[in-house]
Amino acid sequence: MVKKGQVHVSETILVLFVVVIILMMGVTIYFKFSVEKSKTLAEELSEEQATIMLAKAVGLEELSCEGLGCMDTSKFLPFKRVLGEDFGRYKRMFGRKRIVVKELYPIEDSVKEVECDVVKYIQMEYPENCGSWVIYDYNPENEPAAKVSTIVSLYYPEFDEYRVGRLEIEHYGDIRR
Amino acid sequence: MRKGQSEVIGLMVIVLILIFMGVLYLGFANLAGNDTLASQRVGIETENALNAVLRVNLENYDDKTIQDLIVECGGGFDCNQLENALKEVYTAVLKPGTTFSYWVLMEDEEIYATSTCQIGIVSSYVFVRDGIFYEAKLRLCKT
Repeated sequence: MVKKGQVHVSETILVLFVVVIILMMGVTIYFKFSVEKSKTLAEELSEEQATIMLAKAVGLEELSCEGLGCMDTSKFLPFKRVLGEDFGRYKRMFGRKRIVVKELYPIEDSVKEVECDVVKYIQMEYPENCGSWVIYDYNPENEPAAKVSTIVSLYYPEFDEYRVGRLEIEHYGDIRR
Repeated sequence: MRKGQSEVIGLMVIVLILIFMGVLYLGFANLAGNDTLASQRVGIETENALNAVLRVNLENYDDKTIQDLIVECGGGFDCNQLENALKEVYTAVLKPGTTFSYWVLMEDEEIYATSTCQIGIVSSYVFVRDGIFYEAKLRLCKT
């Protein structure tokens, strides 16, 4: 026959067991959430960095008009040349990103996606023969990208003309690399 | 019902309440961060959309800028040119699903307004032409 004291001990053990199980579940869920959160935090920081860069890129001396809040299209091709010569410096500045400028207005739909290069630049039809500049591209691990973008004013000093474009920054996950 | 059973039910209720509170916390914790970043981007987009469009050379309007059309509108000319130019440019440059409101003040008096959206971040740009103050304002909304 089971004594009353033994019943109490069994109850206490059962309650302790349940409490321990609940605590373990809580710790596991919290741990999983923390791991997940640190992963998304890296992505959020990357997105935040890209957003800050969106605001700052227009004022970047290498690409901007002087103090006018616009991007100087005549600086894009020389910048790509400088980029090739001193890639380490710009890699530290931009990190793993792809920076593209696309003209939006006024432009024919057929040339919107055509990339501008030196050959296109020296043609008579320029700037009607192309509408996109890849300013910077570094994605060594071929990761999928998230994109942030903003409208920018594009200045063509050769024609003293302003147009409207979009600055797109594709960023890749972790900002530490 | 025995005493032991009611204790177990009480414990279950407490556990359920804790789980419910945890889920609520996780939901709100995720929402807060994304909203701030998104509104920062909308702010940048609105400011740049206003500034860039004000100085664009309009091929279909004798190479005039939106600023020129605003001055003409304020000088008693027809404001239809300004309205058509704004529609043409913003249709081309804004992302699909984005609407805009645009209004212009001359010496603090409204001379032009088009309003297709009500809630959004407003950006404004002030310029002076022939000693007269003009202020252009833009609001972007997602539909």
